[in-house]
Amino acid sequence: MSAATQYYIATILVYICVDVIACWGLDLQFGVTGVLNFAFVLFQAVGAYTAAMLSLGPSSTSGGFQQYLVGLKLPFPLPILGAMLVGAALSGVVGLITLRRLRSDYQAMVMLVISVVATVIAESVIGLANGTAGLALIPNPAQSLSSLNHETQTWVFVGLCAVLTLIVGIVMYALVYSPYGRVLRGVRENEAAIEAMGRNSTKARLQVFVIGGMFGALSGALLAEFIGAWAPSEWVYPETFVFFTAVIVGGRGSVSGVALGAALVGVGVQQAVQYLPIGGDPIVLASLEWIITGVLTLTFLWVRPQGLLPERRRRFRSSTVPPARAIDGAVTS
Amino acid sequence: MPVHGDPMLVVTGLAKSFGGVHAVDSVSLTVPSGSLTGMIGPNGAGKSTVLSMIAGSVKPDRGSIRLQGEEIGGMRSYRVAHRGVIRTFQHASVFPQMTVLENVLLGASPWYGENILSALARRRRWRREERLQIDRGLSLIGRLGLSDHTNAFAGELSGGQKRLVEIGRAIMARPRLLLLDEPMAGVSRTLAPTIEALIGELRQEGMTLLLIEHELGLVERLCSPVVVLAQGRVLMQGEMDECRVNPEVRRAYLVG
Repeated sequence: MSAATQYYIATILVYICVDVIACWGLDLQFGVTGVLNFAFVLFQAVGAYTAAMLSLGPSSTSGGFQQYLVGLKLPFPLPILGAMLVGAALSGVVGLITLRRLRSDYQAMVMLVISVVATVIAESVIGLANGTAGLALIPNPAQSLSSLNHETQTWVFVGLCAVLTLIVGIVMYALVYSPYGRVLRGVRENEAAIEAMGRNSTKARLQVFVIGGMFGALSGALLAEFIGAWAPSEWVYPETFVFFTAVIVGGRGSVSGVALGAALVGVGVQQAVQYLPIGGDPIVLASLEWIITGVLTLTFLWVRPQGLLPERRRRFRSSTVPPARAIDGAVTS
Repeated sequence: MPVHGDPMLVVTGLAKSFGGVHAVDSVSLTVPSGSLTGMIGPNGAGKSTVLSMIAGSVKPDRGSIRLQGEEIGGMRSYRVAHRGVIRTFQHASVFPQMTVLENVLLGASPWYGENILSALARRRRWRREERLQIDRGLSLIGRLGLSDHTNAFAGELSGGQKRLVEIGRAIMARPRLLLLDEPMAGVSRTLAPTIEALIGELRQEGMTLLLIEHELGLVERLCSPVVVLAQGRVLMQGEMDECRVNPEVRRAYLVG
């Protein structure tokens, strides 16, 4: 297998892992708990920038061609862990602002505005993260394994992504299919009723906001370390809706469904357009991706809103059920 | 027979205005322990608002609500529910995309496995507790006559069946005080006797209930005492036959 083919396959695999982790984060917030997080890509971006700044050296090195807030040159795994912490913290802050007193549709609007404002700040405040040009030369943790050649280093990184995806998947399964997951779905289905049953819906929404934001930041950290660069153009606010499409197409609330959706919409659409016989103009291809994503969202919401792999209907078995006396004259329809 | 021990709920001087409208204007009432207290009155009398203030979904402007001596006025609804006050809603509030059994399971008091750490780390322990709750839930669903629909999505049921699920969910919570907001609303004639019988059984089993209803026949058959509200005020609290002959009550129903 040629180096180019290897690299192509590795790239696909990394992108799948990154998209799956990100979509799981959004699914926890939106699919399971019903929080319309229209600022989701911002948390992926924060993870990417944080991992970059924690692994780059101070901005004055290498000629000072890019400016950024801090450069701590920390070794693996600190940049990734740091990214997740910052993502969780920022989610907490945004959650406290939006999730407490606003009605759900206003929440979504405010989150969208926060995403747009953040992009403007990142582009204008050059000293923060090098403005529109963004950060480059972000080190990949596999590069520190100097005994290996470049191809093997890439595969090591793919392995890292796969392991992290597996861990996040296990956490998702444990959370969603537990009594905690049942409460979250109750918050989604009927907030007044779940509160009347003694659960604090605001606290639940804040919790999934933080956990989902942490997963989003993890995906951003991995992506930035793989590509080696990160700029505001990677996280314009419409990118959030690509994640929403993936969650809806895959099956909102279903852990395996969302993974499928992430692979199909995140990577599948992007790859599929490149094989169309219409010439390879990148602007045309990018526009086509957006069109297909939009059409997918509308089609699925219209025809199959539960997605390709819908949320499972949970059936429970009893250990022993004593015969129950029905109320006199009980009629079941 | 009415059981009048120490009162379960004492409401004093409760008031709430929306804009300039005095929806509830200095309401005081007592719900005796073990009673099935009825709350009746013409539309707009403020009955649902009083219930919502007791349950915590509406914050009172003034007044006190004491549950067995403990002040709960102004508490948020999930905290009121923690103290054993469970309510149902005028439009039967089930969780539509969850099965009947899951709906009923969510009624049980918050148990182990419902926070993140125990969901992740303590699987065996919450699985054991869940098993007990499942058995209880299945038994309760049998009592409600809904065994055939155990795994049906609650959103697909009829209005009366949804009401049964909602009351079943409330029973799972083992409430001290059950607040029923027009339980017969949206219920077919076929299921109405079932629900009425269920409510009567709950009172016989010792539960305290406060019931808002428009169907005066049901109130007469089941409720003692009865509180009559009109235009945000309490007209009287007493037995149903006393209310029937009270001239103020008669006037309120003709005019209101």
